[in-house]
Amino acid sequence: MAIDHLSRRAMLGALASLPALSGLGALAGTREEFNAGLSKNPHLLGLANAKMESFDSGMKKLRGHLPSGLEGVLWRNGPAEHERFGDRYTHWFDGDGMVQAYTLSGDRVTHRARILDTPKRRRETREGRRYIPAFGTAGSGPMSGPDDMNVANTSMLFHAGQLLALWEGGSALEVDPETLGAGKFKAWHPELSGLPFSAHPRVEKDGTLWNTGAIFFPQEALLIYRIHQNGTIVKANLLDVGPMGIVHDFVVTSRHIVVLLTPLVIDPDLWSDRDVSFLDAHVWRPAYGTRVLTIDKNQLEIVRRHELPPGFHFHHGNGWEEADGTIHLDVCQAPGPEFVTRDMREVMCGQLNFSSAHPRYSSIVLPPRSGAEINVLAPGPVEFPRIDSRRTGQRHRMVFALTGDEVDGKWPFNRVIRIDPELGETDGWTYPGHQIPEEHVFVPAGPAEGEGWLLGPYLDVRRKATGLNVFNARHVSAGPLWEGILPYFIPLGLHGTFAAL
Amino acid sequence: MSDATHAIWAIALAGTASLIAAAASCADLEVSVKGLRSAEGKVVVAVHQRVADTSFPDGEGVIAGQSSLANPEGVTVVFADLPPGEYAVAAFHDTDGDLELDRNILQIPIEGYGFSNGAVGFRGPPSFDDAAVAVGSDEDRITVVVSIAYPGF
Ligand SMILES: [Fe+2]
Repeated sequence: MAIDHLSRRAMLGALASLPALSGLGALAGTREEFNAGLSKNPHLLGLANAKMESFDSGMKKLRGHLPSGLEGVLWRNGPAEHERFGDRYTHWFDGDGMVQAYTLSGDRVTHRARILDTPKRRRETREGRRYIPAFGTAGSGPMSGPDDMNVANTSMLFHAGQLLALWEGGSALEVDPETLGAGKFKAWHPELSGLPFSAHPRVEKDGTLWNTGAIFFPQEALLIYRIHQNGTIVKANLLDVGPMGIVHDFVVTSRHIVVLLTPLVIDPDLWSDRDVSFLDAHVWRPAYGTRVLTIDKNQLEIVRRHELPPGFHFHHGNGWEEADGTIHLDVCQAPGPEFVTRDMREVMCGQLNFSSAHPRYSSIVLPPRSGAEINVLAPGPVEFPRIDSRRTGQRHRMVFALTGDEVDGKWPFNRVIRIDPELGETDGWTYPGHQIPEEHVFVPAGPAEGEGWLLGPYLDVRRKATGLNVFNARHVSAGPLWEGILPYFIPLGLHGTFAAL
Repeated sequence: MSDATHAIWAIALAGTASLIAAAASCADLEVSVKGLRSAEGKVVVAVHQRVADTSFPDGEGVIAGQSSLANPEGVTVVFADLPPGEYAVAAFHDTDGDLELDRNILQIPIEGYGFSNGAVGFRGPPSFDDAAVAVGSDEDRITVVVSIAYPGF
């Protein structure tokens, strides 16, 4: 796998780190290929460079009424500076993060977006070139710790009154909720300073926050965090879990933390070569299967292990546990890692071929004393799963996600759906062909699960503008209750979070 | 991984000034520390010599160390009467004044530090060679600049 995916694109990334080839040399090809692709396929607008470092505007209403009681801020994050100083990155996840705030107040929605000026980005600004290693693009910068390459571009967390921009490989970054300006890296404890705090923390109804951090140097280890509702750290533990690669998400139940380790693992030799990016230092070892670690919430130690067939995933919906210790969780799992190692690279140079190996929505059962099972529940690709977060760690009957038709040359997701984790898709609404939906976030209104709204940002490639839909989460098929549009577009983002005003 | 041991390094303040013999044709090494972001705490500066089988900058190679109050305008310390040879200088901003380079649970430094020649490492400290400066026999004083960089800044 490592050799397969040291594709031409990866090689160009590696070569560009050599001083003689830096600047407009090798990587300019990626930019030209992307622009050529974009001129033929408007769906590629989602991976275009952010036009500005900052945006502010009201949203123009296109239809409907904002529901009364829907007041608050949807913060989103995603790689947006895909190009800097003439260089285009070679993977969707590489670029500097842009944080967005959609503020819903009364009958108005306003929008603000800012590129996060991280220490990494400031160093590149001072040097006048893009040179620091990224997720999928090798670089030449010094590396004293992971925060030297932290682009804070993956998700947002609002916890104990503090807004944080999250990445997977390094610390959370403090962000000013008003100005969206980048602050300091968050140190939960001096001894945890500079260590990874992943982009998918799980926050329980009482505010208790759980997270992982996958560490790859100076040694491999999985860090587990337990953080109090008041934002102080309660406990952390460093687990030796054996061969490990990307660990993007996990679930909690009432008593456990469950982490799936995929067979896409770091190869130490590739990883020690600084001309190989973090992503390209991974190898596919299907013989490892998918290792399931069940970790006790009190001790933060591994108490059970299961094995599942090999597969690659980023996201889970939720997990929960029966009285006898049987654990249930869901996952958006693909047979292999090609959608991240190949497809998300190709899209950066203008090829949209997401036609194979998509993640499928699957349910997993982990009985306490016998073998684990996994079953595919929805036939099409499913990604960006979100739940009513009040159900975190408890039995859930609703997952909101994106799916699509798997047409070559089109973005793979064009439909927002509600899934019953025991039955499959139960409700949905299809976007027009010129619109690409982004992650839809649930906002609670009434006390029952799923009683509330879905906030659905999208990219309209015909208008070249970003829009926002508001759905009744229990009647998605009825279409948006309200729709608004911005006068500009923001590149497709990743994850967000909502906080009531 | 080999990176693990490589990243576990220390700048020890050894009481080794007496090791420096008052030999003939010695020179003074002036170290100018720049880039301190506050006047909090101290600056700790150590001069290392090459030690076989010891990866720089472990404490065994330290032949002299000094500390001084931190000053964002810059701090200068002088190591007098060094015999001719190759040396590498390491410095850190000891913000809490405990004369230790504070680290996280994985032994990665969390206080600012820097090396002579502007040497920087990759997932660990630079090599002795990258940071080495020559002190010759016909100079009275040589000056070395060490710029402090702060992890995560
Ligand atoms: Fe994610």
